Formats: sequence, C-alpha cells, structure tokens
Amino acid sequence: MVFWPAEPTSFQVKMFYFKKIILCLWFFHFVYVSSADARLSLDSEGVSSLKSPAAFSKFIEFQFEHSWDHLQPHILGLSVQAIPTDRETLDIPDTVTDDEDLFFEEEFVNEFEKEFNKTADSKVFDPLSGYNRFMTQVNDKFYFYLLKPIANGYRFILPQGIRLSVARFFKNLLFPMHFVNNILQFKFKQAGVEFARFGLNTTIGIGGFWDPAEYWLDLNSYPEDFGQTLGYYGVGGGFHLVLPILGPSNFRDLIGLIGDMYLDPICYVGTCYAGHGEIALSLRSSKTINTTSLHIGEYESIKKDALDLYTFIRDAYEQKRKKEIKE
Amino acid sequence: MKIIFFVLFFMVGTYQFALGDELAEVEELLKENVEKVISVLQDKTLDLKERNQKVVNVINATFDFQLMARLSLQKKYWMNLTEEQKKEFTDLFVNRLQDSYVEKLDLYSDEKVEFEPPKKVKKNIHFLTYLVSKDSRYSMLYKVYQSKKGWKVYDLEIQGVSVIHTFRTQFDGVLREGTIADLLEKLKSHDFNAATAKQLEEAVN
Repeated sequence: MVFWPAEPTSFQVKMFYFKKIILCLWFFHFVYVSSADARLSLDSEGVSSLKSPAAFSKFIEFQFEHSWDHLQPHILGLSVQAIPTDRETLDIPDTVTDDEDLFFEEEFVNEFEKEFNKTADSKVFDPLSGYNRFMTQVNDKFYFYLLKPIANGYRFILPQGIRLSVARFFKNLLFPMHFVNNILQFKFKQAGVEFARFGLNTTIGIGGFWDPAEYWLDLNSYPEDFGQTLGYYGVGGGFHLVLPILGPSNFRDLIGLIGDMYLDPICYVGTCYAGHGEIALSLRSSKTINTTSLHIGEYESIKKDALDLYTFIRDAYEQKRKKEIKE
Repeated sequence: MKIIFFVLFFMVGTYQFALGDELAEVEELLKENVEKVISVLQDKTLDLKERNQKVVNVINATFDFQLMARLSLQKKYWMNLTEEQKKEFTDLFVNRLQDSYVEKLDLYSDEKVEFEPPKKVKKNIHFLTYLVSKDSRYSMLYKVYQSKKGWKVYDLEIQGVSVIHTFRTQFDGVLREGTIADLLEKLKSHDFNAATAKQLEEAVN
C-alpha cells in the first residue's frame, strides 16, 4: 500500500495534517450532533442545562440507561406479544347501530359519492396484476426475512442520533435530483431553497450529517424526481409495475428512475454504469438499511390495515404520486 | 337600487364573516382534539388500557365513523344490502377503523403536528396538518363536514392517500368477485393481533 509519496513536498505534508485536522473536527462534530437529540430529550425531563458537572454526570447516566429504550422486545422478535386492544374491557359500545339516525339520506350521501367517484374516475391500468401480486409477495418476504432482521441488528448497534445523521447525509446527496427536477418544472423558488439547503448543509452541516437549514431556517426540502417532472408535462402513469426490492412503481416512474440515476452521486462514486458496482451497491444497501431501521413497524402496520395488500399498496401509491405531481 | 346594493353588501359581508367563523371553529376543534391525543400519548403514567380508552373517546367525538362506513362502500353495492347487512357491515367497519387507529398509537415517538390554515371546499372544510417526525414529514388532510352534531371528520388523506378511497377500491375488488357475505366474513375473520403474532413468529423462525 502506497501510504506516502517517495519524496513528499511541503505542500503534501501540509495537506496531510490539514486532512487529519478536518477529520478530527468532523468526528467531534458528528458525536456532538448525534448526542443532540438525547440532550433535547434530557431537557424535557427537567434538567435544564449541562453546565454543572452534576448535570453532566446525570446526562451520561441518562444516556446509559435510556439509549436502548426504543428497542421494544416485540419488535425485535424476542418475545411474541399481541398488542392488546381489548374491545371488551374498553368502554366502546360494540354496536353503533343503535343510534336512531344511523343511515343517511341518499341525497345527502350522493354529494360525497360524487367527490369520491371523481377521484376514482381514472382507474389504475393494471395488465400485469398477476406478476405484480407475485412480486408484492416476494418483496414482503424480502422485508421480513432479510431486510428487517438486518435493520434490527443495525438498530441495536447504533443509537438513533447517529442513524438520523446518516439519513440526513443520504438525503443531502439527493440534491442534484431535487434541484434539476425543480428547475425542469419551473419551480424556481423551490429550486432556490434546495440550493440553499445543499450549500448550508454541506458546509456548516459537515457533509450533510447535520441539517442546519431546517433546524435554524426552517427550510424544508422539496423532493421532486424525474417521474414527477414527466407527470408535470402530462405523461400518464402507464401500467402499474411492482419492482423487485424497490416496490410499487409504474411505467412512467420506471423511466423516471432511470433518469434519476444520472443525477445520483452514489452512482458516480461507485460507477453504476461501468460494471464495478460494489461500492454503489454497498452504499445503496446501507442507505436502505438505515432508512428501514428508522421506520420499523410502519410496513407491518400498513399490512395489517389492508384487506388486500396488493390492491391497497397499488392504490395508495398511485394516489400519492398523483398528489405529488399536482403540487 | 341603493337598498339592493346595501342588502347585497351586507349579505356578502355576513357570509364572509360566517365563513371566517366556521373556519376558526373547525381549526380550534381539531387542534384541541389533536393536542388532547398527543398529551394522552405523552403521559407516561397511563397504562395501555387507559391510554387507548382516552384516545378512543376523543376520536369518537371527532370522526363520523358511520358516514365513513357508508362512504367506503360504493352506492351500487350499498343499495343491494339488506338492513341487517347494512348494520353488520357498519359495525364491523367502525370497529376495524377504531382498532387500526388505536394500534397506530404504538408507533408514536415524539412526533409533532404542524397546522396549516383550513380551507373551504364547497360545503366542507379541508384542514391540512403535517406530522413531523425526526426524519420525515407526512401530510395529513382532515376533511370535515357539518353534521347535525357539529363538525365531524369524514375522511383523512395521509400523504394524499384517502382512507375512504383505499377502502372503496379494496371492497370493490372483493365484491366484484364475491358476495357481501364474503366481505363481511373477511372483515370479521381479519384479526389484527393474530396476524401480527403469526408474522412475528414467521420472522423469528
């Protein structure tokens, strides 16, 4: 391994130490930021400042005791506990139909019917429903057997503060995609906000691990992707399509996804296009695992709500996209 | 002529006044209820049962579950139901919605709610709120109408996904291939807790 050039020039030596210092600064900032969330929650517990040594030791103690609070045993699968809803013990009347005015007059209901028929008028075009159903099952198994156990382990190792920082870092990398697509849709103000966010978060937010633009200036991100841009120019969704691992999509958004790849820094770091995709793959999987670790329980909850999982997800996806394009 | 103008002006004025009043009323009502739910969730002294009880009381007062049940089934299907089936369906659906709401509470971890000013859409009021968690921001649109018992929520759009709409398509799917008995059976047999337990078991093994 070539660690040092044969004869370092003074500039190279200076750069070497400069890099070390930056690295140290970054590290300390990282630790500081990731403990910020814990400190905030400490404040809400009643300790107003960490200036006195007693308060500090209390903070450390608190950290030590409560950092794994979010690990509930039933989520980890250590013990299988049903969440009690206890209809019997709750004071909910089991039948609501005793009310005298249960059924509504037809004229009154018709107005609401119109509203929902209007939103439903463009039915989802789904010629591949057989394949889509199958792929939904595959993704479901993928989540429960692979992604979730890995994400749980990851969650066990890293405290939430660090995982949130990592999430912010990956979000910051989406800047080129958001920026270009905002411009393409003539949303210049939003593009400006994205630009300001990227500038601030990359410098003061140290590579995007922290989000000063949102914390200090309330600048929220405006995520736009190429699928939305196509929708903005009037391209319809086409047929619904469930992608392996990535989940629900449609023809337009698939094209959008390919367009977005060209604006994704991860692709350029790991050369998605030239065959050596290992780095991009590992970056992408860490992104997925990190995101999943922050949202465990949400998919399960959706799955429980659905009478028919595939129809539910498909419909929700198409509605969500329609709304995103309209905005 | 002058009088007509005066009357018109006066009417428009009162109308706008009433409109502002309505919006403020709905805003206050929903804000109050959302804050009630959040304060219950943040109260760590309550046990699970008490917590769920309190939340159910609040949402029962906020949502018009019966209208939601009626709207989740398309008119063409509803017309063919017998009175008994209508009752059974409404009961099952309401129970299901309540259970699913209560079950969602376990996912709560210090999210905050931001409110946008409500908007009048035809006769109804749409109230946009945001659920802000540590790494994401979900939009929640409450659709409110004026019932005999005051303002009630009849639909909720989460990230643009309408709860009623998703049920309509799902029920449509079931009823196109099967009968109403199938649907009721499906609603009945669908036990949230059993399903979770089974899934967790699957995941462990």
